[in-house]
Amino acid sequence: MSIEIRNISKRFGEVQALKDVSITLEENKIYGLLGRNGAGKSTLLNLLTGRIFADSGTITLDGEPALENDRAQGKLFLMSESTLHPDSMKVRSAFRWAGAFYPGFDLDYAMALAGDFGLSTGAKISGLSTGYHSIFKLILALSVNVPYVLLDEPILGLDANHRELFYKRLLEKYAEKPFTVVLSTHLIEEVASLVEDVIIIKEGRVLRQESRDSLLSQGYMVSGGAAAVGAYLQGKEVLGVDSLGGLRTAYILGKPDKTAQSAQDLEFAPMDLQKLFIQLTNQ
Amino acid sequence: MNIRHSFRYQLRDQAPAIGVFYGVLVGMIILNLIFLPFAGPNANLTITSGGITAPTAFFAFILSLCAFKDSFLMGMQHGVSRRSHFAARIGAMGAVCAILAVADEVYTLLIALLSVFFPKSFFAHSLYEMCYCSDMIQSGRDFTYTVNTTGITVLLSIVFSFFLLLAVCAFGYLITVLNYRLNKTGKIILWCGWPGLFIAGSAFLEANPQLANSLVPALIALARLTLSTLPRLCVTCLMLTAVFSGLTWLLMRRAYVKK
Repeated sequence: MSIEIRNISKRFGEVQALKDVSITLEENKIYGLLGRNGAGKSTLLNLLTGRIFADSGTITLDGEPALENDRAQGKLFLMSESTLHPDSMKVRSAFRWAGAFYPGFDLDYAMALAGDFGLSTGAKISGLSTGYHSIFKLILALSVNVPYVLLDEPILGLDANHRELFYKRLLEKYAEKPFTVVLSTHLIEEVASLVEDVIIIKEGRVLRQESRDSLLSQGYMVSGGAAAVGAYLQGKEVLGVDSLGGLRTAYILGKPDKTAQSAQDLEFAPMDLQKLFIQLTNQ
Repeated sequence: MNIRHSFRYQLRDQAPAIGVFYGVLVGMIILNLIFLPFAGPNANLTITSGGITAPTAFFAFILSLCAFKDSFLMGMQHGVSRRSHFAARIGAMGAVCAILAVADEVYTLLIALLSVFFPKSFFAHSLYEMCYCSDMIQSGRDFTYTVNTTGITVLLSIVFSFFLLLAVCAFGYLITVLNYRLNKTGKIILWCGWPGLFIAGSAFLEANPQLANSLVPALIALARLTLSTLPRLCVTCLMLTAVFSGLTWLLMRRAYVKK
């Protein structure tokens, strides 16, 4: 049970949005889909849901073709940056229609979540602020009860309280009945503790797809005086270095060598997902 | 399953507009009835419905022009394939045309019923009756039209309206899908191109009267061949619907989501 994306390429005019991308999204996992602006994250999600067509490659969902297939698409739910609901539609009506199209949609849960977030169900979708628009989308995604939920920039415009509430409800829902979640976001630090697997896309290519723990265990951070750090870095695979005055922080692939002579006076720390992402995508 | 829900959605999407359209028509009757007692003997308070299907056809065309984008995007949001959406659209189009055809006849009959009580103020015949069941009698310089209404013409009026509206709706939907698929340049070329082509064609016919003289009789012969009887009209409309819908599917099957 998985989504298999094989050798997908997509070009928009002069821009090669995706190049020969192959990814597997397994069931009941939370994925972080990370990439810089224009890396191809949204394009990938739109391809998965058949909103646009790939130039080449295949997408299968639980063994059957995913595109133009109602049964396969019924297992997927994408909440993209802009909703595809009519502007004049009210929130309550959108919930009802979601219930018609998705048999598993939990209307009571959606209404309860709307209450938790303070979303008026009588409001028109087009009249919602950016934050409440995101909340509306999140409520739909959390209530739809399908095996694969894809969230493109889910926390756009949300204040800290609402973000916290969303993460809490997402984990509750996941703990109650696991499902696959793909979180495409730029707020890496916030989702770092949520995601199990990380997919990093750079310029239309998949740079990394592995578990967060495995990814982070491949490197570490070391900081200290510029000269000491410089000496320590000799012969090591360095991802990048940040400097602030006389202090330096280096991001290194491999295992920390704390016993080395040059390691004295240095501080070692596990690799941070956001730092690793920045270093990997800056290269 | 998705076809059924998509069908329901598309039908519900068009229901308010249909309600408003017939609401206005019935409102005009009610207004007339309200003002009738206050009208003087020379007042001209008349509601005639000579072929309500003609304005309904315009309405159905506009309705179809507005029927694609919102429902297509809504379907895509809810995992409805283009194929299912198209199948649901054909069903919804048929249902809407049936509703409009029946509503037109009910409206015509309503006015016909009122004409029994207020013969000077109400007068109605269906478009089918006017086109296929009327006789023109000339006496001197005056023409008199007589329309024969029977129980069977009432039923045939519904059949006539249904097939006519079906072709009109299919055409409107084709145009809106074509418009959706075109980029900005394509839209400009299309919407400026048609009037340009029309003007150029008119000028060309004006400059070549022999061509116009042979074209007009050909068009009349074509109209006779395709529209002269109700069965011919039904077949023609059905064929047009099939052609328009086929072209619509070709455009729709690779349509991207564009907000």
